[in-house]
Amino acid sequence: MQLLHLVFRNLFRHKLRTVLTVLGIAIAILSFGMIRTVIAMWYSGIEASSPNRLITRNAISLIFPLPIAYRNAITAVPGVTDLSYAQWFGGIYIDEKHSQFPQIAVDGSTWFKVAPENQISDAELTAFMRERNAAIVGVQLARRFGWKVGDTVRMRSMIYSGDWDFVIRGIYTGAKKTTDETLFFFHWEYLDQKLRQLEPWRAGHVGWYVVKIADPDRAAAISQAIDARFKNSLAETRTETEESFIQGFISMSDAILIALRIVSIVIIGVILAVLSNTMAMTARERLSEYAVLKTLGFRTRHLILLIAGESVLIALAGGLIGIGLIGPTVSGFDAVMTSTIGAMFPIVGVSIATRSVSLLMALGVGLAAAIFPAWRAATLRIVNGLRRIG
Amino acid sequence: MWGHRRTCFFPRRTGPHKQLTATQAPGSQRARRARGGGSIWLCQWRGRRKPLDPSEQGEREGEAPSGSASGGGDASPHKIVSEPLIEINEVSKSYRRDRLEIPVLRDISLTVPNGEYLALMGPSGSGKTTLLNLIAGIDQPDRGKIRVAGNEIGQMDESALALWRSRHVGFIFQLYNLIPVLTAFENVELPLLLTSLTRKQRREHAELALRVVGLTDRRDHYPRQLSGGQEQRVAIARAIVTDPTILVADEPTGDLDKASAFEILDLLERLNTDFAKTIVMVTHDPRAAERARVVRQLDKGTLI
Repeated sequence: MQLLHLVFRNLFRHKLRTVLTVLGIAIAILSFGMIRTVIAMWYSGIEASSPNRLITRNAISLIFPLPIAYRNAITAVPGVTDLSYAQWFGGIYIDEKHSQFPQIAVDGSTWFKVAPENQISDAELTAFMRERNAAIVGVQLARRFGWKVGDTVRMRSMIYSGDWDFVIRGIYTGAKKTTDETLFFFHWEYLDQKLRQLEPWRAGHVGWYVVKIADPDRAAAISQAIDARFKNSLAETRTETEESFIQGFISMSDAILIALRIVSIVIIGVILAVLSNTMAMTARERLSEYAVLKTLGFRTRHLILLIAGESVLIALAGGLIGIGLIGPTVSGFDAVMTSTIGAMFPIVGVSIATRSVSLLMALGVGLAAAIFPAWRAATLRIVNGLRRIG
Repeated sequence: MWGHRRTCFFPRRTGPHKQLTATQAPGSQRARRARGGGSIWLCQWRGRRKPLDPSEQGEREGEAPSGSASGGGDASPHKIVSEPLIEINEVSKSYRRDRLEIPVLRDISLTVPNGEYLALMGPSGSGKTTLLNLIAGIDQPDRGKIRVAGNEIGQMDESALALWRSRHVGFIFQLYNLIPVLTAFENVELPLLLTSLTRKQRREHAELALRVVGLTDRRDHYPRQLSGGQEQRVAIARAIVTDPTILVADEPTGDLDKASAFEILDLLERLNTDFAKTIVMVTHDPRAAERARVVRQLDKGTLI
């Protein structure tokens, strides 16, 4: 028998209490992990951003377009190696519930050069380039709707009038785990030509330019140079790194994210209180045993080991169960969200960082909850513990 | 765990434990005492450990056979063969209740020779348990000196006292105080976790201790599965498993029926007579006290 053996025996002294405490911690760690995962998924676009890409958009707002004519001027800026452009489509597929995926009109000839993380075969790219209303979709998006190459997808747009038919000619995969595989790309030319027929005053414009640069360290200088070119024009530009561009989107949800972070901290506080209560009750019940152990020669460090060991084991058991449940729960959450209001997050998954932080939190809670009972046991006078004064 | 090993836990010579049985006849105890060292069923430390304080050196060499508890400070400043095991000199102790200071012991002096079986009697509140706690090193005196097994325990800090207790004192409580989640065997083994004994050695010693108290067949029973008398016997096995210098017993029969109480008293008597264990027992029960060789009365914190 070792002391650890006694720790395990103590653990199951009150089975129901231990099980309920473990369950409480598991639920709390699950909630904590889920919130952390949702926040991480929110920020996943930033992780996927490339340091050698700049985004040039209208200085007033993203909803104001830029003339296609800026293309050559931007390309001419020293340090720019490639350029592509894109336009938000705002499509509705079947109904609004099913339309929570981005549809982007891109310059097919350059887009996959500036965004090589969207990997597509040469054959599919060639097929895409040959057809005016061809589309390339992400593998997750194709899986979600059961699309395959050759399928025709009809959409309406919240921005542009008319029905739009697209033929899927390729399915791309992400080069990295963080690559968004839920995008729907089609030719900007198709959009522009149709606009020339239906709404000619809106033709000849793009939503934003994607500028590839050779040296990320010169991003600021190149951005300034681009913006300087269009100073005092009808459509002044604002150029920033892709990371800042995405960050700008996320900052719109900052209040929600901060609230979520606070909730996650509160959850940790709650489980700390729950476990502390359990351990305090445990210590109170066992004061006479601690006194006996001290009488037998066990020292403070042994008692701390007994108490902290039990507390940490309970916390770790709950933590591991909770962490194990984060993945399935997040997947279930995503499935429910997708089926009700549409796909919320391009990348769904629990990161190692989230699991590690959750485990550390459980461990920290276990140790913190043991502080008071351990102190109480350490400062216990044997005669008081034995409650015998002759 | 400690910086030493109990190398002689089992004596190399033909030790008494080899003949030990739960029903061993007490006949050989005088001869064993006469051999010196108050020969004990499990061998003593024999001075191979690092002493807690320099004065501890030679404590075993100084072990003497018989003697009676005596009042007064008759301890010699020199190490002599008949050095007392417990020397208490003008010890006082009081407790504080809110703002009130309640004196419990007043200028107590007591000497207990090695191998003695002393019963402390007195009415409730007379201070007998407090005196026992002081002897056992689980409480500290306000004034006076307590020297047990060659150590000035009144001067020790908490950690040193814990170490000292684990080496020198075996405790027997009125309410047994076994750990409920451990079996009888594991409860007996518990104090041995503080030693550097191997698992096999611990098992051997715990089994031997259980054999001494006649509970080998109950080794895997939990305290709740034992009778009160059996629980107390397990507690005694736990107290003797480390082969302590003294056994202290606080009302060991106070929670037992008559038959069980007799069994426990028989066992304690045998530990004293057969194995020369020094025992200090607190009791209210005159029948228990009469088993002791010396009875001292406490009244209002004073030995009478």
